[in-house]
Amino acid sequence: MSVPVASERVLTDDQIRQVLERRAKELARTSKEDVVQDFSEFIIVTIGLEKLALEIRSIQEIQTLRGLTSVPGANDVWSGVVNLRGRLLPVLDLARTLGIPSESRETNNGGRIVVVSLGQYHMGLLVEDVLGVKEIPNGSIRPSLVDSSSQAREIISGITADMISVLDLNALASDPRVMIQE
Amino acid sequence: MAGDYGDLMAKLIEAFEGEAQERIQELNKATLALEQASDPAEVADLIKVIFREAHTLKGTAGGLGLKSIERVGHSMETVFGLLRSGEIGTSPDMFDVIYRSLDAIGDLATSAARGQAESVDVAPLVDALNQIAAKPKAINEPETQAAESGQIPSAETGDDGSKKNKKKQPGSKDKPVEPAQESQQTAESARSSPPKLLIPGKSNQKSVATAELATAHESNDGNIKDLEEEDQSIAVVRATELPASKAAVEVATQASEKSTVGAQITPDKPKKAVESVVKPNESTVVPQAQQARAPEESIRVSTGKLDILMEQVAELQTARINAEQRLTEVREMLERVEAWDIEWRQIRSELWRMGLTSGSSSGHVHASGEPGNLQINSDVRSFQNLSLFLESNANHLRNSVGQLTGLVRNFDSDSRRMAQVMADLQDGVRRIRMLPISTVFETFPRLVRDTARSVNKEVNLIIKGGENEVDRTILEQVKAPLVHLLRNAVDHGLESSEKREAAGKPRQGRLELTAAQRGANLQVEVSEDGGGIDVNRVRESAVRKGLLTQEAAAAMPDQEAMWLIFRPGFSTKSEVTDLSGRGVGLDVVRENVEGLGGMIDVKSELGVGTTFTLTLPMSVATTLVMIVECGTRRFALPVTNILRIMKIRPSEIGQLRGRAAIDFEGRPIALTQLSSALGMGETAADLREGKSVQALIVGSADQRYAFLVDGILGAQEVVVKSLLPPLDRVRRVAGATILGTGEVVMVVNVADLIRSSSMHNLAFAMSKGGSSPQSSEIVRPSVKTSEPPLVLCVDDSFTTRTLVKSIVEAAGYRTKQAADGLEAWNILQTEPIQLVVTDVNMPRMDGFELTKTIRKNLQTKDLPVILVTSLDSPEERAEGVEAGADAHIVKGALRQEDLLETIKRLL
Repeated sequence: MSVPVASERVLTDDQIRQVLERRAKELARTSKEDVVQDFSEFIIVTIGLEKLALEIRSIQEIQTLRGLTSVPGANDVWSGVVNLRGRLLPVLDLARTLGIPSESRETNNGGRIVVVSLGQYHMGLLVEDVLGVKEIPNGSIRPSLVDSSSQAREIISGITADMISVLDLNALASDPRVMIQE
Repeated sequence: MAGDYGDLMAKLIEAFEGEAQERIQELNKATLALEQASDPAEVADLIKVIFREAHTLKGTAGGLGLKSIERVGHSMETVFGLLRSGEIGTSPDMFDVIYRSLDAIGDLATSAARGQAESVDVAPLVDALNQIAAKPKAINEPETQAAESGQIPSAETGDDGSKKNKKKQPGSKDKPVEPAQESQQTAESARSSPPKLLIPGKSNQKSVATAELATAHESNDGNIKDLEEEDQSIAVVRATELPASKAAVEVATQASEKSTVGAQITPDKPKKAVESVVKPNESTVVPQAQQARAPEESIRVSTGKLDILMEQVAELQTARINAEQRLTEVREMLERVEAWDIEWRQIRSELWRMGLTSGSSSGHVHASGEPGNLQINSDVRSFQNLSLFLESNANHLRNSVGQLTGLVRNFDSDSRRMAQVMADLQDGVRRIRMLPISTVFETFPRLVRDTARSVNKEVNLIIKGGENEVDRTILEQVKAPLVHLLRNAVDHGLESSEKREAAGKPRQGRLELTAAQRGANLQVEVSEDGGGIDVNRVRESAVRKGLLTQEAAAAMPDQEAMWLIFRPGFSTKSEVTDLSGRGVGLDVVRENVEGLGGMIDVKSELGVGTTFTLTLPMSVATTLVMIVECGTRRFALPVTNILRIMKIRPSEIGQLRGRAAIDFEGRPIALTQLSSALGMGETAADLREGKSVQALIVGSADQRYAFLVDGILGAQEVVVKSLLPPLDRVRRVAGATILGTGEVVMVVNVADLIRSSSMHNLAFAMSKGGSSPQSSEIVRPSVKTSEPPLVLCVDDSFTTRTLVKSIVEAAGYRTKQAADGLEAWNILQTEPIQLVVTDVNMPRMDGFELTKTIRKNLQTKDLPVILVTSLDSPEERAEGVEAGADAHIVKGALRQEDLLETIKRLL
């Protein structure tokens, strides 16, 4: 009858605004926003044959390993400490922590240290090499493989399509071997 | 605005707290001095000081609305006013109340500053003070005072003022039972006193104060309000400045000091008081209160800020050392460039020769005009151009070498200058954190006095070395252990006066607290001449408490058994007294001291006394460490923990209960490789090779341990940084330090290391201990004995040489003597010397040089050398070790046993 016709012809200011807002919202829901939400940036490092992804927001810097001093009495997952601009940074041997065979572990030089900040802890993670930064879609990370060791399973939160293990740094920091209770 | 005002008040009260604590300290000192002062002038001075301090304290507190402090302060002021005027005498009870009042004021000031409710109820204290004020002299000094206080002044002065005094005192003697009324009456008779001071029912001491003032001014007719309402210290000064009229004499009897009357009236009372008092200390301890207030401008800085400063200085130091490293790199580069330059010069002459030859030949060829020579010609030309270019290049190179050399030289001098400034800066910052240890010692006379009184003993406390400076952190933390040791000394260590007399000792026990610098450490000794610790009772007690088995205890050497007192759960006195803690014993003291990176030791002789020695680092900012090598790794050990560095021959290593052990100071101590003690496997030199090895003798409280190392790299002042979590929980590691090269070196926690090493050891000793009677004897390859060994004593001092000679000869050795290293070396060529005891500082050839010479020579390289030095610096020790000395003895502590023990060990 007449009401719809009238409404088609003459929209109130309110109605116009509502329509415009709805359209604006639809337009605003772009794929760009999807990217921001569904991708995370990772640093890709290598140990032996393995590639590992470390979430970038916990990472402070990457250093070349120089002058590692072991700490007697510390658990063997700890490589020791390095002098990072006058600060003594504890260095965790990531290969040993994850149970990954690595050749460069025993050598004092040649590795890289990824300096991470996890809550109250600052520590360096000793790796063999750093490949670069990579964006990984969140959805593409799948549960880790069954055959990984039990130590690693706690710490590795998943695996990507191209076989990069994604590390859960918080799980790493709360690992009983990393914590020292004496 | 109100908020601002509140803030201001809060700040003022906070400032007041600091001031109040200082004044209380002053008051404590002066009161302690008063308690045992006998010189009348001194007594008068002290009373004046106390009166003034109490008055100021009262006034300030009143101004800030701190009523409780004001009340206590006022009552104290009254008591001292009466003391000053001689109306009351001193008594131990009175001093007790005064001390309690001072404590209360301190507590009140603290709670006020923190904005907390008042922590103390002052009413009982005010009452107690009032009672003292209300008591006429007759009561306080029951027997002799009447005659003295009443008669002597009058007899000697015959003055109006003292007659008034005389009149009043018999009065007070007549009515000792009703002191309040009496003073009330006096007050009432003094009509000129302002009525506002007579606060009814509140405290009768106020009326006494008024009465006193009124009496003072009766004849003076002065304006009493002046005295009442203005600062009384001013009033006192004014009074003493008055002309020597009758009135002035009257006033002077209170204000004392300048007037002879005052000096004569006061004399005997305090002396008498002192006699009845337990004398807690000597006047040497407490400086004259008024002298102690040296005006030194200071500001308060939070220690946190100083810590940051210190850290930054350490960073700067690292940066400087890095820069020095760069310098070394530049120097290396310069060397390479110089080598290049030299090479070039050599080649250049060759090149010139070639150039000349080809040049002349080309000229020749050219002249002949043969075909094809054109090509050669151009070659020659380009060769000549090339030589020219090379030549200019060489010049560049030479210039660069010159510049680089200059640069290195400047860099070098800059860096040296910087090192100097840096060292000064670091030292300066370190010093900011340091305070004289007297700031802690100051509170001890009072503590000892109170403790002595509560156990009814007479103690004479002597404090020495309070001027030695220590880091604030250490100062704060060393107080508790010292308090404990002092209380222990008074409570358990010293005997009662009767017992002492029976033992033929002076009634008064002697308690000595000494601080002294020993190398990089501060040594604090608490020593008393009491009954000593009965080592057998210690054994019994330890066995009873299940610390070890009967057998193990019996087998334990005395000194080791003595150290049992530091074990947790040990206390020799079975009854728990109020003073020395309940179950909190020497183990806590030990823990505290070790927590500071120090060590504790005890020496006791039955019937003679006991001495506890605390060895502490003086600074926490930097630590002097000895850097040692274990295989390829380096470790640092705080020098505080190192007792000696020794070279040990395999023949000296024996077995003790299945473990390697050596003999040290006459007792066996376990020997372990440092690396294996640190849980890193054996790295140190193999003992079976027959070479002598280096060992560090470390100690902490009851334990001595020898750790073998591969090398000793020297002592170094370092900044010890704690490890970051979670590595900060690693035992055996106290932290780490970054050396000049940027290398990180772990600093060993010696106390922890010994604990973990000896737990194992102790368990072993307990299971096997006592199984054989010689279990504490080292089973060692027997030392062959023939004719007495020949010992060479080298010292440029005739006295020392003779002393050493007599000691050594008395022990049955033969000796030869030399006045310096060179003479010694000559003697060594001809005489079959078996051991050398040498001084370090000598003309012609010093001890280090002699040692090095001995080590270099094939015939003498195994000859044992003992260095005797006057300086006990770790650097010197390290140098001695480096030179190859087998042992190191400090001259100051040159004890017969030490020397002979060492000789015996080395031969």
